Order: sequence, then structure tokens, then C-alpha cells
Amino acid sequence: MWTALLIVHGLLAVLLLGAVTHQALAALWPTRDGATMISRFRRVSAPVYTNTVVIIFVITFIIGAVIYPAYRLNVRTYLQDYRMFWAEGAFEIKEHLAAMGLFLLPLYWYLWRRPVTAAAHETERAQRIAQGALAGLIAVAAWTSFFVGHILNNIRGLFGT
Amino acid sequence: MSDTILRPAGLVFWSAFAVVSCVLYVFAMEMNLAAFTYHPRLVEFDLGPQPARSGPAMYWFGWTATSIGGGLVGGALALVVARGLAMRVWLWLGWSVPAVAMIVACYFMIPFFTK
Repeated sequence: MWTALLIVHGLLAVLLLGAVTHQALAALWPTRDGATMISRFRRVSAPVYTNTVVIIFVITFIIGAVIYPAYRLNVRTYLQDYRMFWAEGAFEIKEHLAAMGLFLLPLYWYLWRRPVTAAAHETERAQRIAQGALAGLIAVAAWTSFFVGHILNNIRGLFGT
Repeated sequence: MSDTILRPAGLVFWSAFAVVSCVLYVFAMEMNLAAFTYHPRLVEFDLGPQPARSGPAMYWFGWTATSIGGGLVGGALALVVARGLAMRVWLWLGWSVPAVAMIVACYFMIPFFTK
């Protein structure tokens, strides 16, 4: 069961990466040009990803929390036995960024589901920056978690024993 | 249409929640302020931070719970005492403080990479 959950966790993470990276790039590096693949990637309508990001993040987080005790009992002790402290530290970073990403979701959802309609120009600009920054921070948390999880999952094959 | 307009109360509450929960998480992980402890080998929970009994003790769930609880309280308090702050201040605080908290949390992990 743990293996199946781990695979689902990884697949959902891939979906999350796609959604939040599209949104973050479209918000932080927008363009109207659609000549290249990169510019088409940046030209997407950023708000449409909001609900998808929130739902997938929460489900991925919950599955991660469910399989975490199995990691703590079986994998972390292995890392400690083989003095792979960097891997242990990388997982600590993953858990911290994932938790903080979860804490950002309500504000992220609140800001992204509202169009920028503020009367004051400074507030409008601040809202656009906040939308992009929150998407960017959640993307950083998702990418970091994905890489660390992937490396730890393959650590015996990658680094041997 | 009115529910799609940025409202000060929602912005204040969720910005304060983001700020307080992220900052509190850094303190929780450094000072072990876990709301509860999970013992995975025993499949048992204890209130507050407790030492390992049989097998390892897990505090991350407790740190997360502490931070969410603190964030909700912080959001409610902000509605009472700091609602007068300009909206743009909340918009900046809501992402900049968590960004710093993320960096600090990563900084505290450096010893793992220098052992």
C-alpha cells in the first residue's frame, strides 16, 4: 500500500508542478508574444490554475503526511546508519517548505480568485506582486519537495550502500 | 460580484494567518513547540512534545498543528488590533515574511550538510 501511495503522491506532485509553474511564470514573467514554446508557456491565463493548485497541493500534502511515518521508521534510520546526513537534511527542508506552502494556500487562493480591481494604483500593483510571489513561493516549495522526494526515493540506486 | 472584490477583512485575516503560521513554524521546529507527538511504531499520540518511547518520536505533525492554531489566532487578533493598516501593507507582509521564514528554516538545516 505504501508503494502505491508513494506513486500517487509523486504523480500528483507532477500535476502540481505543471499547474503552479505555469501560473507562476505567467504572473512573474508575462508576455503577449506566442512565437516560441517558452512564450506560449508564459502567456497562459494564470488565474485558471488557482483551484487546481489548491486542491492538488492539499491532496498531495495529505498523502505525504500519511506515508511520512513509513519514511521515519524505515528510510531515515537507513540514512542515519549510512551517515547520509545531507539526505536527511534535504528531507527536513522538504517537510518545512511543504508545511509553509500549506500555510500560504489560503491567502494565495483568496488573492488569486479576485481580479485586481483596487482603486489605488499602489494597491493594485501590490496585489499583482503578491499574487506572483505567492505562486512563486508555492512553486519553490513544490519543486524542492519533488526533487528531494525523488532523490530519496532512488537513493539506493543513485548512491549505493 | 461583490464576493469577488478584495475585502480588507479577508485580506487582513489570511495575510496575518500566513505571517504568524510561517514565523511560528520556525520557532516551533527550533524550540520543539509541538502541539502533540506521534509515535509511529506504537501508533500513539501524546499531547505536547514528548520524548521518544519505543522507536522514534515525530514532531512535524505537532509543529504544523501548532502553527495552524497560532495562525488562526493571529488572524483573528489582526482583525481586532491591526485592521487599520493599509491594504498594500498586508499585501506585502503576506508573502515577504513567509519568504524570509522559508529562508530561515532552510538556514537552520545547514548543520545536516556540514556534518
